[in-house]
Amino acid sequence: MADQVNTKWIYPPNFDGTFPVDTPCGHKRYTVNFGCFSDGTGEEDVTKIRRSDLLSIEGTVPKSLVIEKIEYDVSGMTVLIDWSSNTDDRIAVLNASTGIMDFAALGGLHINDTNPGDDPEWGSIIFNTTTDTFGSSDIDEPLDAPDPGSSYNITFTVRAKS
Amino acid sequence: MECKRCVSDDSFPNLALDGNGVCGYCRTHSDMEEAYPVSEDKLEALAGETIQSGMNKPFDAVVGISGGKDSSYLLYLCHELGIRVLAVHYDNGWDTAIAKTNMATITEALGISFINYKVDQIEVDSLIKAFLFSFTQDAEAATDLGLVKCLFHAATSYGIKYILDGHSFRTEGIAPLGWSYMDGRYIRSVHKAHGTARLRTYPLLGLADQVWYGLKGIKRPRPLYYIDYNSDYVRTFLEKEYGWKWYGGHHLENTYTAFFDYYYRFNKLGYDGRKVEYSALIRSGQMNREDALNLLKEPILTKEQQDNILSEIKERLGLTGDVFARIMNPIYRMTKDDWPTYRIHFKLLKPLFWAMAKTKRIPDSFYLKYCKGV
Repeated sequence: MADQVNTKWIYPPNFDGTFPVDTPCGHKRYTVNFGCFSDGTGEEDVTKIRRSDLLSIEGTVPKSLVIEKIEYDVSGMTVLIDWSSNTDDRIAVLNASTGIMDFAALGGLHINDTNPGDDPEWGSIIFNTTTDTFGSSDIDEPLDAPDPGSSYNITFTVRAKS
Repeated sequence: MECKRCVSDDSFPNLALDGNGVCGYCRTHSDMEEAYPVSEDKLEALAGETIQSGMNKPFDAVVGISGGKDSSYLLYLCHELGIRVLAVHYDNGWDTAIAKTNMATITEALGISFINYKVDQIEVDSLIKAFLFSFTQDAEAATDLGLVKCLFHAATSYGIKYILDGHSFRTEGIAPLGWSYMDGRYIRSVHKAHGTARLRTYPLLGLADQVWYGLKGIKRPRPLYYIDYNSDYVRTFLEKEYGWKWYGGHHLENTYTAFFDYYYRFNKLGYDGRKVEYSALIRSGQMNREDALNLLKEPILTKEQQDNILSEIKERLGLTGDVFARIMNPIYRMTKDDWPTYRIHFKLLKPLFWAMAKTKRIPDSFYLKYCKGV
């Protein structure tokens, strides 16, 4: 058994998460929606937006991502959102609630770490709904498992920073 | 000249001693004890108003957190009072690992929603360097205004009417008004002269923002004023109940704040931040004066703490030994009066800010300091 999860790229149109090889068609902003209907299993350290997939117009990997907006509707569970980095910087803890957080006016949410090298996973956005493996990590306690029937619907707008 | 009751001395501006040798800060503390008595009823009433204001909204209040003990305990208190909180952290990129872990621990344990406002590091560091190069005493001003703007932004995003503040005058004290000054125009002026990057996205609270947020009717009460807040008890409680970790001293949860409060201010300006804290603890009966005086004879930071802080500051800001020595030289010193500020605007808008202070939309201390010029 596993949670039913889905990812829908809203902008750019016809984008499915990765650019075709050798196609210089990068965009600066991306909007993507994540949905989950849980059977009680939950997700652990799942990379939802991989920085290295969002190529620039020149076909290069962006230096980092900046989150401009999060729209969410979470029911019956807690979603931990972290940057994938040396320190697993926390972005947000979303408990059961609904909201729109628009960070664009404040310049967006940045990653609090520098890329140690060419790690393609660095700077990606990861979700946890079962176990928190935050940072180095003194916290490794299970969250309350999602209730069967719990769900989330989260839409990110991110800016690729070159 | 020093106060006979606390450990305030000449380094505190306008230290007015009365006939008994007691300073104005002690008298202010007594006034605040009267204005904000320890009262479960008042705390419950505040909680009731906050909860009432949050009806049909996802949260009742915003709480700014740092991973320190005061804000962590405030989250616990809100949880106990049934206030639905959105925890917000203004992340200037200088948090210690302990602070990050503390924030993660406490928000998860209490099931509190949390947003980490991480701002652009290049702009933050440019602001920090600009203030260090300007030789002013307000090198923390940009952080404070950035924090306030993030809190207001979070509150207005959800239509939240309360931002709860984790300050406790009984343990933290009241910093002397002359020790720091901040306003958006001042920060932009200093940055324009000494900044190394363009300020494109930094959340700087300007005058228009202050008035706008004030008119929105967002209140900023301080619930810890109504409880018998004991520093040692709170620390032990958080450690035992939530696995929260002590970071070694007040304000040591953030490397830059630790540098500013305990190294820069002390060595360049002659201000010992511990005196504010110890004075408050003496006034509230949590420390005796002799112990405080003995503690003040000890170095502020251990050799290891100081070395670690200085090496991180120098490395991350790219300050060579000569440049750093020049920054720290007490001879080089400027004040806010050397820069364009909003001071004249604050004075012109005094009636508006008076009304906002009376309705708790801005802190009383803001009105006293910036508009009345106390």
